[in-house]
Amino acid sequence: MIANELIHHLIDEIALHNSEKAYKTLFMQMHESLVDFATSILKSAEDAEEVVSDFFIIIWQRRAQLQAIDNPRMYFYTGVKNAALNKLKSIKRTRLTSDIEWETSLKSVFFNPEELMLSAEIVKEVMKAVNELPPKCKIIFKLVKEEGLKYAEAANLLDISVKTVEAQMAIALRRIKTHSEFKNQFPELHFILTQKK
Amino acid sequence: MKEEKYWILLSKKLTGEATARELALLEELIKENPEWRFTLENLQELWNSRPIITGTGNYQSKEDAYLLHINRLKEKVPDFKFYSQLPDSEVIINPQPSVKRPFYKHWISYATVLVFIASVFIVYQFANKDSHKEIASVKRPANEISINPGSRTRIQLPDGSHVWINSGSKLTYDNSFKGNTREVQLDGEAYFDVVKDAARPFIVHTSGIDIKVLGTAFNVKAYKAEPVIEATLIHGSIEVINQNRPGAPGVMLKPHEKLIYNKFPVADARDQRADVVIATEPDAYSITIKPLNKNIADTDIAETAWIYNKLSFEDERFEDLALKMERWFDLKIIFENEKLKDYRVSGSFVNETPEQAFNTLKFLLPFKYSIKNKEVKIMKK
Repeated sequence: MIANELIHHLIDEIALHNSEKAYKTLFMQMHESLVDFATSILKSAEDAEEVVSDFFIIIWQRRAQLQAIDNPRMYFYTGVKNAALNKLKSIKRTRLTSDIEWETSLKSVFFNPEELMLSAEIVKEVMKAVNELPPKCKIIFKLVKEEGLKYAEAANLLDISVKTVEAQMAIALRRIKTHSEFKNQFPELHFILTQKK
Repeated sequence: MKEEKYWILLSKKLTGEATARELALLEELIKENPEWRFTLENLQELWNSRPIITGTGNYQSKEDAYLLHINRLKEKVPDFKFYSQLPDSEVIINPQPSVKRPFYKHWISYATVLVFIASVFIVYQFANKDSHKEIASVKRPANEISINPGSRTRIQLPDGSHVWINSGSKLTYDNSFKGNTREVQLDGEAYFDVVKDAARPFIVHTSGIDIKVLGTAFNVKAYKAEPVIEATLIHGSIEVINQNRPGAPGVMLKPHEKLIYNKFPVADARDQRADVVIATEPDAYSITIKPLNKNIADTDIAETAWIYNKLSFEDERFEDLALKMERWFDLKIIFENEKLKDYRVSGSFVNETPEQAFNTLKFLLPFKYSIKNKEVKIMKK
């Protein structure tokens, strides 16, 4: 997850100094997140790569205007979303319904099991719980947890209300809790096992 | 119904979306159902745990993606080229705090012209020197990274170590970084995640102590203008050397210990809440070591929370917190009531605006405030 301030700074460097280093850093920092996001719309990693690359070409061409952007992270996500929808339209040659079928998967492990001293069993259970969430719930969870978006930003990007984001995040966390139940069932044992030396 | 509310509030707390009122509501719900606290704590631990950082293989694949991208860019934009071929350093210098942007925007056109003139001048200079050797012999000044109040940034040093630099701080290192030691000079606060290299110790110089490292992660707070220097070790080991007694053996820190060094031991005794006192000879500058609470995640440790964009404070005097907030938000804070300075307060801010932060504090402390042109007046309620 890259901080908005760093994005602002990189954009300044690109706009004012044509800095390749800044352009490369920006690309490499945002690439994975944006490709994942585009893939959740396009269902094809290859198409997603192309969409993101095209988007970064536009970024280069319009670099002089970039500094006017208030929230560059959202600008990137929204830009990639629109590009992906256009791509989808051109592939399917159909008018899109307003509902996008979001399909995504979370990084193999989004937390640090070693730090938490979790057993492999529980790690598997938690990941399963997350990856079996309904698609919309999962993309919301991914955007908030892995990409660090605010509720309002995720809602805006997915064309849903903030209330929906609230409810879906609650569902996601409740599922994770039920699947990491070990701790709750055997708190004493858990305490002994996870005591840090 | 209540349980549903509990889950929504719990989620908002974890994600930093909860307002002070919602946090209070959550506490109330937990008081009614004590067993819910356990769930909250477990999930909080899970949520705050940092994912394992993916290794170099991942970097490689990003680099490949970038190369492919540049090839496509060249195809689609025939006249494409990067103009700046100057040796940029690895570092990011003077990020502008975003609040200054609107004003700054008007100047972009002027700045662009200036940069253009400067580039022409520099290119001209370089064009007159005919070899790389010549360019290398131009003495490059030490790399200096200054972070304005209100900004924080993360940089990578030439050896691959990462440094998070907090508001109003300055980090300097020169090209000797490539020699037998890796030395940096710090005025302010920074968190170091140092790449292991036993042959080349990493040394942080401050205005009072030097910290010698092999490979480790630690936080140093050493603003020249402040009487106290703090070093907090997260993992690994560090050795702290008192600059006034260079011959004396250094103090070794263990993980989750914090060293506090008082530049003027007598004048300022209020931060002496330490458990162990190491040096007590009359002439010694006092060094104290204090353990951190081990049961909290790194993101919640007040000393290092700032690198997660969290302004965290634990049992801190309002006046000291105000100093932190001045840097964090780039503000000037004026107390119109002396008594307020001594109130103690704990908590943390994540992504709050100054107004949101002061409004939250108002729940805890009896004051009112006004903000005008980045100047905040704190008054008795």
